[in-house]
Amino acid sequence: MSARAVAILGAGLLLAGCASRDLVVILPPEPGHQVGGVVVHPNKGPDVLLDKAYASDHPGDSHVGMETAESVDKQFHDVIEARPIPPKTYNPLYFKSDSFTELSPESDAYLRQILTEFSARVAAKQAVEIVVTGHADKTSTPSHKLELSQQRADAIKARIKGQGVDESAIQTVARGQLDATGPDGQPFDKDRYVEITVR
Amino acid sequence: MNFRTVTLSLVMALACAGAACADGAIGQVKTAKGGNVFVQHAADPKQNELKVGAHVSQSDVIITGPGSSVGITFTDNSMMSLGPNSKLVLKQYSFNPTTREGEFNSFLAKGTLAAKSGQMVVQKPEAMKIQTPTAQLGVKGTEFVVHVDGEG
Repeated sequence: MSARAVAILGAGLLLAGCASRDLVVILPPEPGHQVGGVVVHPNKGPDVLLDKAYASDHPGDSHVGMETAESVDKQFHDVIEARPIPPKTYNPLYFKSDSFTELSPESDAYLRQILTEFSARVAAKQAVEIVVTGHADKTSTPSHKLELSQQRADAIKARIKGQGVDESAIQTVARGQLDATGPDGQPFDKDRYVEITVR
Repeated sequence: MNFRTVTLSLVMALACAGAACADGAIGQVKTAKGGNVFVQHAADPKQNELKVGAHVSQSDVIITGPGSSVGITFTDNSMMSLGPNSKLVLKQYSFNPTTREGEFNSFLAKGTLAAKSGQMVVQKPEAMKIQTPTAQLGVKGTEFVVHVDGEG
């Protein structure tokens, strides 16, 4: 071990000695996701940014430490096990132009597959909540499109209701043209959709 | 569908959006283990058992006893779970599902917490804040765990 490593270790021990025993640790992100980070604003001392998996801080010692998968499991096993199933957003269900009743044939088949999954979760007595978000393209006025996106969400909600999911657990959201990526005034297939999230 | 029903349904959708539908519910219990999981509502000192499927509201206090844990998913898709002997105060919560703007402030008085940020943090970094007796944590979009030694 180099003299420098010993010095750093020594400084770390000193800091640990006077800091609180409270601990914050970043968990590894899901595959394909990045860590956005947590800023620790301690009651005393400078802020600390934790932006890597297993980066840790005892608030107040203004020093970024590192935990390991093993040390986290040892200290946080129960709370990690208690985490809910993460919310899941399915691929978009596409509608025909200006329609809120007719899905494309592929989307219709996909919806039936999603509904089977919901039935299974209800049968397994999971507390399932569903958010149905409607979207529209930019072919006409924003108010008409807000209305159309609501109608699309309502139409999908009506189909989910048949799967044993309690109506009060299904929420609809109208996004109108807010997420539209196509050109103004022209029909755009990819902007006419409903997105289902289950949590 | 005539114009009036459309307007009405839009108004109702917005009313729901303000504070989430079921009576100001901000989240739902998804996991509960060990039998010692309780909620204490703002103006009521009584502790009620918290079971899977129950909704939680702003200013609720979530308490777990020995050998118990609970997991809650909130309306912006953020999640929190508590390990044994923990106490979490859901101090303030607002979320608008249309704009995806909101604020979430909670206080971990003692125990262990696992948290994952949701949609409001995508819209505004640090919209989700967790206070502890020694620090305030501003969440910029991630999953993390916290341990607090406090007596709560």
